[in-house]
Amino acid sequence: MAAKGSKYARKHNVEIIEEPEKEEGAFLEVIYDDYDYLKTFNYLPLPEQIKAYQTLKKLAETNKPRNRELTYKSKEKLNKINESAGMERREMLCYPLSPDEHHLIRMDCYGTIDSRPTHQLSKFYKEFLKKPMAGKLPVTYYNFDLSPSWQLFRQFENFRSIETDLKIFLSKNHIHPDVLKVMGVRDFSDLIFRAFQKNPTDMKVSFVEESERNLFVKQLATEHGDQITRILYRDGIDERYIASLINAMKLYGATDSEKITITELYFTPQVLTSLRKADIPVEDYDCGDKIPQDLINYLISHDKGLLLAARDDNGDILEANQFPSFEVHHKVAVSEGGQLPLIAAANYASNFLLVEKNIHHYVLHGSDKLMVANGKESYRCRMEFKEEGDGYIFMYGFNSETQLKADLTNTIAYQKRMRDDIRYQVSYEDVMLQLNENRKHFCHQEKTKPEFDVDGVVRILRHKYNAYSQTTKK
Amino acid sequence: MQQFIENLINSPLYQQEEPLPEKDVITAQKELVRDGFPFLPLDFVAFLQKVNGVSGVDSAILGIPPTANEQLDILAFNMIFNQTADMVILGYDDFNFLVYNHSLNIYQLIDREDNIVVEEFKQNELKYALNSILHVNDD
Repeated sequence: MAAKGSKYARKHNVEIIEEPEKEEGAFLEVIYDDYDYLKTFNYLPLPEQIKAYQTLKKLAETNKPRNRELTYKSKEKLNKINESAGMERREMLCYPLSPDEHHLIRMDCYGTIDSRPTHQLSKFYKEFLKKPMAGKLPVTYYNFDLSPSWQLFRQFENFRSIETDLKIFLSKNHIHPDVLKVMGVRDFSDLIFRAFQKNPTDMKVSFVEESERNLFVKQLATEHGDQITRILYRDGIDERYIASLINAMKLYGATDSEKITITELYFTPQVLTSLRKADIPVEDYDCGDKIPQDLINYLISHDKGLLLAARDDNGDILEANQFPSFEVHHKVAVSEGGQLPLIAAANYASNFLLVEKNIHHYVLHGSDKLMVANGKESYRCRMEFKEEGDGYIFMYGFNSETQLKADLTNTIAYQKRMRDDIRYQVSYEDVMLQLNENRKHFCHQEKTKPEFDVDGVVRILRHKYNAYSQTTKK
Repeated sequence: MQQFIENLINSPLYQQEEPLPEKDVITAQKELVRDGFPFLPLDFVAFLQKVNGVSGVDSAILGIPPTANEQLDILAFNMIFNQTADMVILGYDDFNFLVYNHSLNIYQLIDREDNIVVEEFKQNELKYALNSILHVNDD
């Protein structure tokens, strides 16, 4: 496009469409304007939209009588903005899961397990670790079918895939197979950590090749990279950043601008000089040639990506924090995981959304509040997508032009995984009751008492489910 | 704790250039109390002096302002997401808040939506607590 006042524009009498200046503080128009606020909001750049959204939220939460009208108007505006973005606030705490199930979903999502303090482990497990057998038993002696807690893990494909690794670890370390019957969920986490720990200083270990989160990001970049590129490009994001982001998503599942090396797309004098200095042959390339993707990936993987660093007009390396970052969001919250057909589905790609970081924090998680008082839970709301919400896979803004939808459930792989996972589905209550029985039996043999009140856990869960069913009856 | 900090400093997540000044800590503590939250525990302050806020994969440990990016600001974050008087949020991921519970003198992972306590760590187990909230990319 011809620049305003440029020689080309003057010569060719080009009509320059003047865009209103997007000054800082433009978000205030949304607050003051009671009629065209939605149009104004949709026109604002994303940072101003976030400011407007946060201000409206604060005003909507004000309960002072003299501000009643302002509160009402702000709520109305927020509802309209949410509605136009395909979202609505919904009541929570209808389908709760136990803390153990929360823990499992979290580990499965990131594919990592943390080192944990010993007081979180059961005395049964610790006893078995302390007293290994004199000899080693073959792997076949370790029957995971006999472990109630492992049935919870088995619901997830990732955990099923490491069963043999765990058997080998138990066998190598001369641990008695009876431990499986009395191990709790945290004990298994510890076992997985030990089995996959490479260095004694590791505090977090990966137990899968690729986490569910990263698989989703990579799939998104591979199958929808062009669409994401178009959305970001339309918003004026530097094409060098867009290309680097999509590449980092494909290679590493990375989505945070500060963790991405932003590279030039075409050779520049600076890039050619840097490469020559690093003894990388560049005879075949001239300024303006496209940098081969293989070369970019090679240099990034060898920590030399900065040789290709993208620079601004002053020759300074582009600052990452000026570009949008993205995070992966669970569309159905884990705390509401009970509404899913099975808990493993919490981490299916179809439940993930890649969303701009600020929208993630202040909009999708905008209703989150830490409100625990003396152990009592509070009644909550959450921002959810309206009908067809399952289809959202990417969100960079509040209107459909900045969002992507796709049906990730309509694939053979999805159907197969669902069928496999359903075969391993168990009830948490049944598992806990069986674990309690096993521990009682073990204590009877050992003449000690069970360590914690499994019945208590089950009682709490029952109470929650009952409370929900009474609410729905009303 | 030392090992955890070393691991972090040697990771690509670490971006801090200068140690956190004492006066910023005092100002932040005062502001937290003025806003109705408890003081930050001393172990956590000692951690912040070396690593003042860090973001991982869809997760972060918050820091004392001025932080590398505004989403790591512990004061602003607590003002938005914390409605208690006996807890202060130290970090977050897509599932949980990492919280210091002043009344019980423990660290807790609390579900962001239904406030269920998912994990608990004793007062001297800060490294486990911080490690549990910060997710990293192994690739």
